[in-house]
Amino acid sequence: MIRLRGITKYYANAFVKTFVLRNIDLDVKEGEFLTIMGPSGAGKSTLLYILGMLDEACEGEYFFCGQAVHELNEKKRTQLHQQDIGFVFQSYHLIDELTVYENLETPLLYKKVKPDERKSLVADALDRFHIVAKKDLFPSQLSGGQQQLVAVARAVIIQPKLILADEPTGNLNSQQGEEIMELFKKLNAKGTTIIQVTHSERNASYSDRVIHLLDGWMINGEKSALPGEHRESGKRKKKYPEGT
Amino acid sequence: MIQNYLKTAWRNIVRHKGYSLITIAGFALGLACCLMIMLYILDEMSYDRFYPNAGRTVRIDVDASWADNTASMATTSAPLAALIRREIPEVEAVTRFRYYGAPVLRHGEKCFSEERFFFADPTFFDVFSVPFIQGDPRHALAQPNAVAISLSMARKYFGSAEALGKVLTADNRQDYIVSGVFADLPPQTHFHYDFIAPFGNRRDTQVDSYATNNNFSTYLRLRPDITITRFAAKLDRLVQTFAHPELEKLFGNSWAKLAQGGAYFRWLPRRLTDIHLRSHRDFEIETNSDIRYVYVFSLIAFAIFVLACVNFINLTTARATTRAREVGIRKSIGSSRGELVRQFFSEILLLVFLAVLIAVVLAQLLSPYLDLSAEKGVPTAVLANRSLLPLLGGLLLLSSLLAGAYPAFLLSSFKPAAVLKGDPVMSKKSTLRGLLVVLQFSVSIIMIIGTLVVSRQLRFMQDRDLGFGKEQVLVIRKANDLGKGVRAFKQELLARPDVVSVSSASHLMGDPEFGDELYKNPDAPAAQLMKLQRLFCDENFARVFQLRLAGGRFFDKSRPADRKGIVINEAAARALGMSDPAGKQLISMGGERIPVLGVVKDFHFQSLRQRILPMAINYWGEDAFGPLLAVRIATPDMRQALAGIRRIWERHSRGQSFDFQFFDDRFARVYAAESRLSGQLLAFSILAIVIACLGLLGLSIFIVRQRTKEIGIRKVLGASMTRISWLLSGEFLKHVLLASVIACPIAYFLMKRWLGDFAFRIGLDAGPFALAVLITLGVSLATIGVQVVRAARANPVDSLRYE
Ligand SMILES: Nc1ncnc2c1ncn2[C@@H]1O[C@H](COP(=O)(O)OP(=O)(O)O)[C@@H](O)[C@H]1O
Ligand SMILES: [Mg+2]
Repeated sequence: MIRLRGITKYYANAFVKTFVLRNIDLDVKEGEFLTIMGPSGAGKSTLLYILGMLDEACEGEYFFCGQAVHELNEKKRTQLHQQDIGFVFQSYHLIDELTVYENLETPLLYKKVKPDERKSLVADALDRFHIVAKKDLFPSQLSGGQQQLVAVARAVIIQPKLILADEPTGNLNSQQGEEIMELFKKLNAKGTTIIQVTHSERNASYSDRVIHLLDGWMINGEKSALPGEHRESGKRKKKYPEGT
Repeated sequence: MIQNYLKTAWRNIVRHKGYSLITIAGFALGLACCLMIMLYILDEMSYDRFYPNAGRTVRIDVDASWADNTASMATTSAPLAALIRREIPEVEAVTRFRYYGAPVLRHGEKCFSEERFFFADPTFFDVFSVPFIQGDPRHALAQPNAVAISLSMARKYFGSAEALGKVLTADNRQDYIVSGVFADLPPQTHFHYDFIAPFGNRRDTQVDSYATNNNFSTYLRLRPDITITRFAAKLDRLVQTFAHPELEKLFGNSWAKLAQGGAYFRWLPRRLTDIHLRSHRDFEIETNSDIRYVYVFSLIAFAIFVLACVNFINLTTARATTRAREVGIRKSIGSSRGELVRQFFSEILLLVFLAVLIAVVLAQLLSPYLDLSAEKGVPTAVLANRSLLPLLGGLLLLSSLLAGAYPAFLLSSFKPAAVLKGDPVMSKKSTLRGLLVVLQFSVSIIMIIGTLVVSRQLRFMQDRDLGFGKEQVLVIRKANDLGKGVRAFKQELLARPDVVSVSSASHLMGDPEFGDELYKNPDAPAAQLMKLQRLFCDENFARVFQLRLAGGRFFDKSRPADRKGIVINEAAARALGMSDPAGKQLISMGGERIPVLGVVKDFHFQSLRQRILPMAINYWGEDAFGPLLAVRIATPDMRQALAGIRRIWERHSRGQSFDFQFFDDRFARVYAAESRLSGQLLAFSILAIVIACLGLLGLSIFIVRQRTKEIGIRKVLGASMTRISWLLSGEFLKHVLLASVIACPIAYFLMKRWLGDFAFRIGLDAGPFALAVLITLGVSLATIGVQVVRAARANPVDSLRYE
């Protein structure tokens, strides 16, 4: 479903080129649950944004479900992204001025879903995530865990093929984190592809496969990415101390 | 979707109350001004258009020039109307009218002096087709003693009773029978009349000279099938056939020769609808407005509009930082750029809509103070105006586009990857924003300089020694209604110890117009007829107004021959080429020899706008009963003097009201235009600087917030509060200084041109410029002061932790 070849990203100014991603090759199959790990500043978020088409690589090719994303214009990319991709962030990123209900509704509005269908989709999501009682509250009136729950609900409401999660449990306590990971597990079981960034081995253990980034290099790529491999990645923990 | 947008927008407005308030209020203030100015301009443009055939109605003007004299008159000779009717078939109707002064009308107990009383041809209502409420416009002026009156006059004299057939007695001499009642004229006309009476067989209407005695207003209506240009050509032919031969006789030379010497005499058609804004001739019926005001105010409205938009843009983009995250989120959940542009546009539309609503209310509240339509005496009722809705629609659309486009495209352009990671979205130095602030302050500074220069010129004109004494003079109007009784009245006045002197006069200094008369100096090498302004008075005139003699003497009542003589001013002596005129003689147009008794020193009998024109003062003799009576008073208790004079008046006047003014109040109207301009400029300058300061305030909030961390670090490194305050203020003051550099030359150029209109004017020194810059600096320092000091005093630990 995803195929990256030689993805490179750098920031250039007059004097230096700072490389963030170097020559990344990555394949993700439909229905896979992938974890990206690495120290702070390694380029994990950048990679995720590129996968989510919110950022562009400087070099390399990106195929999404067979479409050459690197060749699409902004409008087409927005469409693709709108149909198939849901985002979850560490700091939730709900729209402060909208209620829970309206936050859930917004992606559907962008997707131009009809009002009736929209209503039932939002009602379903509220139900599924047990937040019906919160639907008229604003994000600031919710706890972190609740906010992240809403954020996940917002990501899945468009029934995306791919969910991208950037440290989704980073600001949550372990119990809340657990809940979110269980949710991901369930979604993945129903066929949604999930790519998450995390610093937590525990979270990583939910996934099928783990890749590591260091200074923009992918240090255990395709070759070592065998099922069950993720259990070994625990050993590397000391080698790459976690950042914030 | 739009609901979602508006919801976000509204909640954003409510959440950032202070910010929204600055944004909306600033914009509303600017819009309110634009609105008022535009309504004023529309009002000015609507003059005389209520007449059904306004587009085809034309006034005939006269332009004439010979030797050093020129005349441009809004009046013509008496027989021209009949000539046009006879010779130009494309003219549907012609009429003449003339003003002979304000009669005192009486009906039973009711007695008023009426300023708007005109005599006219019976065809008057054919050309000025105003609706009749009673009577028939075609026959209203058929009888010699008829008078058609306006509805409000009918109410004034007759209340709710039937007006037709009632009698109005004028000046206790003449009875008029009301023959028609017409609807009141709207304020938007160059010619207001309340009474129209037929000429009957007045002698002046039968004078048979085409070129001289231009005393009549001549108006006509053209057939739709003739253009004004073709009509003008026909008039040209008439002038050649009928007026030029007459002038040849008058000047004793062939027209070709005269024309070679630069002489001309023309009859010119002037559209009715152009008169109010474009006609500034001698003998206008009322003082007209000026198209230049329309231009100047359009410019001001435009400038204020741009300022307000700029502010709006500045303030909305300054908030970009707070909105950036939202942009990132929306893009990450599937918003396209187009959607975001639409969102921000609808948001701005909401802000602008609120601003427009407030602007309407503000305009309604402020319009009495802005005083745009002073001469109409009624504040423009903003809410009642017909043009309001289309105007508002236009404003709403235009300002949303102008003020909304840049912020919408800027905000929607943010890269989600960057803003969601928390990268700064805007560089610290926003050149565009800086430029916009500079622009705003340039406009403010120009306006402040304008205000200062105009008010200085005004003060200069008011304080200047005019060459005569204008204080402690009382003017009694309509004294001629006493008839011969005026002599006894004068004597009784003089018997009072506080009355110094009393003089009758036809005109007084400061009157908009004087008559004129042509004279030539027989001793000059090439004797030319020169135009001298003409004033009639009695022998006390020089004493009442403290005129100073430069030679000869003033009139003497013990020498009856003085009635034939004149006293001229120094300007007249120069124009006629006489070095020592007293005792010499001049030749009048009629060929009479006129002795010059004396020369008075030049005095400013008109505005300082004009150079002092040549003048001839004529003697009426001791028993003169002119319309104006000037009384010089010397007393510390003016109230008592006034009461005493009133009592004397009442003994002589047979019930007529005591109509008085203080001369200096009457004279002040000379500078009415300038003092209005000065007041308006003041209002607009205050407005401009308020708007500019709101912009600066927004900018300073933004910059200070952006530099919080830097300030924290500097403080940790040991910078003092004062030092930091200066550092921050410097940033803003740079803008103001740059604005001064731009504004001063522009203001200098503009004010130089404005002052150029005045024959007597102040010099343009550095004072107003320096003062304007200082005022602007002071006001803007005060604006940013709070922000700067707060930032400088903030605990560095907080600000660093906050980051
Ligand atoms: N706009 C930018 N200009 C320059 N460097 C940037 C910019 N944005 C991110 N970086 C750099 O890219 C690197 C990777 O960032 P990121 O992908 O956020 O890392 P991670 O998510 O792994 O912590 C960091 O070293 C960061 O400094
Ligand atoms: Mg990251």
